[in-house]
Amino acid sequence: MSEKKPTGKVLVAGAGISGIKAAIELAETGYQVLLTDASTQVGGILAKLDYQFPTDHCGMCRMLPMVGREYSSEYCMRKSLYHENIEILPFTEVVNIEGDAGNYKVELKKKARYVNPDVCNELGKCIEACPVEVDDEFNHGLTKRKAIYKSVPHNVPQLLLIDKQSCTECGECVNVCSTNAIDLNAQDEVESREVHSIILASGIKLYNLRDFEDAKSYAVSPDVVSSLAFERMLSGTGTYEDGMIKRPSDGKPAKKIAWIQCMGSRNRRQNRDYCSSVCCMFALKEAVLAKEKGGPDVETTIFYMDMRTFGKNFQRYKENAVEEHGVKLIRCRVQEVIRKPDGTLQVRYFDPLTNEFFFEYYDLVVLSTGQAPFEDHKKWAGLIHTDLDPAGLLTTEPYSKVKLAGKDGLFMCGSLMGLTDISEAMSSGIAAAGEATNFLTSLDVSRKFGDDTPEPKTNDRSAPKVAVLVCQCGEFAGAEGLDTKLLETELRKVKDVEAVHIVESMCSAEGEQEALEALKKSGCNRLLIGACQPYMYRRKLKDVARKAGFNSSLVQVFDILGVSRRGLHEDDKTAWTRRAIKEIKSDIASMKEKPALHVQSQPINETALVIGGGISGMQSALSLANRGIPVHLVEKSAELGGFAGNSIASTIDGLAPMEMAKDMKLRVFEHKKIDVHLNAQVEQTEGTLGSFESKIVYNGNGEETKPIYLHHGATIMATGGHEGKTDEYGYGQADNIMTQFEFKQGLESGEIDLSETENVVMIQCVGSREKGKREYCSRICCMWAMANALKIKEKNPDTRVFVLYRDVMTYGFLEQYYTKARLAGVIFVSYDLENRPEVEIVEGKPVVKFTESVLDRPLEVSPEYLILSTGVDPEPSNKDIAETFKVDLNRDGFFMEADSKWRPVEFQQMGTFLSGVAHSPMPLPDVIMQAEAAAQKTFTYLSGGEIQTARVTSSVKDALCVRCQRCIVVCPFEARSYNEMEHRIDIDPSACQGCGMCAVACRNNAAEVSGWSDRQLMSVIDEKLSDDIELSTT
Amino acid sequence: MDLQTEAVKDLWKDVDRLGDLLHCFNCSTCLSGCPASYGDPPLLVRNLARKVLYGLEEELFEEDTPWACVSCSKCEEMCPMDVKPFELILHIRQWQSTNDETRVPPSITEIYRRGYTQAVATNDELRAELGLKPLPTINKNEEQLKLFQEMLMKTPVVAANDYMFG
Repeated sequence: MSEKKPTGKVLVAGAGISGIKAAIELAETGYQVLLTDASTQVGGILAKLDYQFPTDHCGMCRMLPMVGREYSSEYCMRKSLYHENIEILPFTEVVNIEGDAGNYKVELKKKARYVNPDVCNELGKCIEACPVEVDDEFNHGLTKRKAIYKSVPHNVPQLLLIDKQSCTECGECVNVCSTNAIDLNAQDEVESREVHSIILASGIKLYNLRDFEDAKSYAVSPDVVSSLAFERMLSGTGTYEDGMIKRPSDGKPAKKIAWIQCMGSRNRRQNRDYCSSVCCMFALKEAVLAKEKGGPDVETTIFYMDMRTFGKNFQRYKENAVEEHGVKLIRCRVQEVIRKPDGTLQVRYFDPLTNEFFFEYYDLVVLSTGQAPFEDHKKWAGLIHTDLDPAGLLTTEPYSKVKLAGKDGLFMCGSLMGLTDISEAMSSGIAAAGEATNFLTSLDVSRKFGDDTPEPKTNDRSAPKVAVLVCQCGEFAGAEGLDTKLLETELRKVKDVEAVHIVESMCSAEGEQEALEALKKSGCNRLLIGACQPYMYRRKLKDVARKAGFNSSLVQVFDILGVSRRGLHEDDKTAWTRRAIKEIKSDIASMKEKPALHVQSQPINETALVIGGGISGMQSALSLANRGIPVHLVEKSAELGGFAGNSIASTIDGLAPMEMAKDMKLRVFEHKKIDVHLNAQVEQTEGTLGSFESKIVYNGNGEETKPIYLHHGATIMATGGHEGKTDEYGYGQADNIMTQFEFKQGLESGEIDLSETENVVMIQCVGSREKGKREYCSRICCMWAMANALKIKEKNPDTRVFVLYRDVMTYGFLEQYYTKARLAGVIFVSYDLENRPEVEIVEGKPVVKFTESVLDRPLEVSPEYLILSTGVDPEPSNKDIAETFKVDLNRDGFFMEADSKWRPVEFQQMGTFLSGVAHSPMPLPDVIMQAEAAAQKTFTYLSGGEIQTARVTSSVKDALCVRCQRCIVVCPFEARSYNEMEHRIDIDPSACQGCGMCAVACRNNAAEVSGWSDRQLMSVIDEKLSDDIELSTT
Repeated sequence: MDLQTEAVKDLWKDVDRLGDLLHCFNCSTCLSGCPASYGDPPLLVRNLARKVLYGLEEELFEEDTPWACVSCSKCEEMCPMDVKPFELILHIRQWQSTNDETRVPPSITEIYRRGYTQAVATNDELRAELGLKPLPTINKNEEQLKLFQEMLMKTPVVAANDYMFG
């Protein structure tokens, strides 16, 4: 890594969650990121979602890095994001892309905001003054905003802008603005930048009711809203108030709410033969939340076609919604909503359980509007000179979901691939960052880590001497009424304050130099800095302080305008200053008690261990090895390839897993950086992130070989899975009853001849999505059924094929195969658990009896083949591996990730990752994407040479500790363990996130978070409770 | 239902050559707003499509409900799979008539009796609530209805089957 090489630079176009995730991953790896978004905000769709399933809370901050926390200012992600390697440009559009791989020149159009964010003080006087009122897009028109406004109510800093379309240019805002921030004649600016690689992450738009073709039949009243608008009705920054979900028409509480699914999706008439993938879970979550937020008397009904609970734990969430929360599900797509004279909304539906029609009346109807036409895709295709696929999406390399076809250095992630849920957005963001990292590794570019000015030494025993530095913010602080003279005089009187310095503007180079000089001379060891927008400038200010000899942990930055302004009337100018003085004094009190905290660096063993030699494991191993990371690949069988790589020749979407695995095996065996261990298992492991030791035992051919010990810094679990077994529906009692996989193999080998076959019956969800059996959807069985059914029809169009299903799970663009199968004449018959098909063996042949669901009458078929979809089972060895590595399995036997939405490929246990079917059943392209993501996470940790622990971690005062071990139980990061040998509590500082749970749980004040001691907090409270200061002079 | 004996596999090709009905995924959109689904027996176009798909020839032939369709075309407009249910109904009517030229659809007796196949103007209360005048339908005017019936009696179909229109 020579100094002269340029730092690798990546443009991430789109700052929704997948773009943010890709940006964070790249920034953590040491690359510079330019993160743009065409809208005025970051966060994409998630900025509007206060609650996400399955926790029904917000969890966005969980995507932030767990190690090296010091590099990013960490706080609420819905407000914004700050990382020193990420430059964020909202309201910026990519208008031109030139050049090629490794050398892209992009033109960015920064759209005019008409309010200069560097000068604006966010007081919002202009908003009050503006006479124009229009619908607020953020709240989907449920509330109003002015022509000059804040686009997202909870963003920090509050970037104001003017909507020129509705602005009348009356000039009222300009008149009241005390900082001259408004320029009504501002122009868009085009700026040219050079980057090595580009990740497209501009996402997808959901249907707006205005643009929805069927609005005339459904959106017949203001009380019919889109699902995204309903999120705003649940939000405090939307219209939620007084524990009420308010009906938009009259503000009365909505007590009876219906959801109508598939609005604008699964619609051939509108040329959209695809499913939007997320709406089923979205509606379920909203229905559950509606009761929580609107009261237990709220009634919720979802009208659906197929309840697509295909993801990990989705099925369980649905069952819980129905059983615990009383969400009613009705399988009927209703034709229209009728507004009755009293304003209630009438829905007539056909109930398939009773075969009768019913009327129902609702206060509110939510339309589950899916993904809108792919407009952005056309724009990107034009910019990068490529063609779109028939569905209108950007084409990718075979097997990859993130690498754009034929375009080195260009990637995509998130909903640009087609609407994704949070988990997939995260995996794809990490995978895209991984692919970009792979690509950058091949170029002559370097990686950059934080400022390397060494941390000054401190003497913890020296008496506290506090310096206070206040930025005047040009003249604004004065203009806002802060009397800096008075402030200075008063602060000088405080005990232990040795220096007070007012700087005119810390943002300028002169200001920075002035501050540096003053601090060097001060002779203090603790520093308080008052400046505006501390979230943005904290890092920079701390760097200045460090250069002046202050330890970073003894420097505190506070928002000078915030402390003085908060809650006070603006005319009372001395009150502002008094408030500021009081706040600063309590900060000084805290500062005086604060110990110096040090970052510890731990050495890293850069070797990775990958468990499982299937396609997922091989992909992770190759990806890491290609980037120079040595890998041990451990496979328990005698062969690499796993289930898919050794037995599946083709998939419905034209992939050839066996062929792919053959090529991968060659590359794995030939790779100098990969050590393959066949017939091997991990029996024991010890250590933490960066330094593990694992015992590998071999058991091939009955010969016992000596165990070996491997040293590695991280582990990836890629144990895969296999087709489930069953004894239901006569399986095993007749030759012609087989699983989908067995039938597929029979067809491929030619053993099955269909020329005389009259009838074939397939039964889906055998032993699946059922309590006490496989309690999950295996995600791929519907596709297997479609593939086999289409094959049958192709070989013998006269064969009748019946597919008995519960919900057809052809989510996303897989829907096209369902349509193809129906067109080929395959007959789909739904059944439910109360009324399942029955199989009788008559003279060695199966006879299938089932209810024809549409005609509601019994049907009997004697098929030549009865094919069972038996789902996917996890590997039984997962249990031992989980125990060995101290990670968890879920109830179904799959590995349990750290967070089902925000951290899909990591374990809570630091340094351990997972990918592929070890996580949950998923199709091959998803397996590869996750494998790439797990490799990237591993690479970020292992390639830095060392790991910096956070400053704020927990500790144990051993003398006070009674070894009750309560802290171990409550620690959400498994950072605490009990040391049997030495009879004490151990803390893994790289795992600890400083959340303070242990300090709360500890009955003896033995657990403490450094920098948050009781003494420190008590002195702050004392100071806050003290009398207001007397002002002698002004 | 015994498919081996009852079913004519390729019936759909006879009835609906274009195969639009194969797209049907039984979502019930066509049913839930259908005015003729209020009838007794109700017109259930989704079920008709299914019978065509299975090839239940005899049963389909006996179906009178296709004749209850009031041609409002809502199903056609709203069907997400573009199955064209209304056209399917017309196809079924054609198919029934081609296979039996003497077939007299029962809906003609309904038309004879009350001027419409369906009981229209049943929403008088709703109309009143909305401040609308009652619909001036023919069945509310006995004199007109009588004239209408005399007129119908002069058509060849009704004249030849006058025993049905007592």
